[in-house]
Amino acid sequence: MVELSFLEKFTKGDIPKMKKYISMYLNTSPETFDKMQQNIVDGSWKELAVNAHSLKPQAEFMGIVGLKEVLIEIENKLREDQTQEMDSLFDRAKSMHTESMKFLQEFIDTN
Amino acid sequence: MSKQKIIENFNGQHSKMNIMKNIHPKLFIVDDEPLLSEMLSDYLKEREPGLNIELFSTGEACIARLHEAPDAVVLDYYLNTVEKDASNGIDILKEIKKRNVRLPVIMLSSQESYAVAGKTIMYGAVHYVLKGQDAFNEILGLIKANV
Repeated sequence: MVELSFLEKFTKGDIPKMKKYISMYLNTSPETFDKMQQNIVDGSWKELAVNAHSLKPQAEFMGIVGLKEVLIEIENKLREDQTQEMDSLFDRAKSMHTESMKFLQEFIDTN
Repeated sequence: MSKQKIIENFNGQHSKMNIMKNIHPKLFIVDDEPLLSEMLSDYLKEREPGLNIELFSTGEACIARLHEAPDAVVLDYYLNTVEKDASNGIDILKEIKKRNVRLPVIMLSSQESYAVAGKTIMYGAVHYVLKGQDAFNEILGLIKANV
């Protein structure tokens, strides 16, 4: 689910630095997911696309396997005005995010 | 000229391209994603300790400090994820170029779009870099080549 190899390579195995970046992700990403959920409720599709877009590089840096692809799918569907699958796509993204948060928090706690 | 000489000349020119002319250049990074800004700043400072880096979460904040004469700007394309009323990167790029047409601006985005990339180059960006694992090294190279 989470593959930290990029972060390890990027920091050259510097654990405090890895923890700093992971903490930043843990502190900021839940708010973006909350916003996305609200965007779906409100039908604010443009904002949903912007929020999904902003999470893509973060998901990649944190090595959250599959999350970037789902976020791209959300963006692409919205670009084509296909909103009917948004609930299920968001649920998939949220579930990956929730699982990854546990893993990343555990990394912080045990290192 | 021998093949070896040609290679030496090429390498010499190549390494010259990768040495910054300015010893303590000032770099502005404008991005509303704190994680990316922090990682990019750390990456660049580690490799070029002389870099003087300032981080901005909005383009407006960057514009307000342009009088400090940065040597280059790394500018995100989407700048209104956090602050909905913030100007987007293309408007900030236009404003920067209006004030200083020679200031190198490197555009940064997660959008794999030739149209978007072309638009930023048309408005004077030196390069369009895709956010991702390779972006850090690419930006470092562009800063060395332009500062």
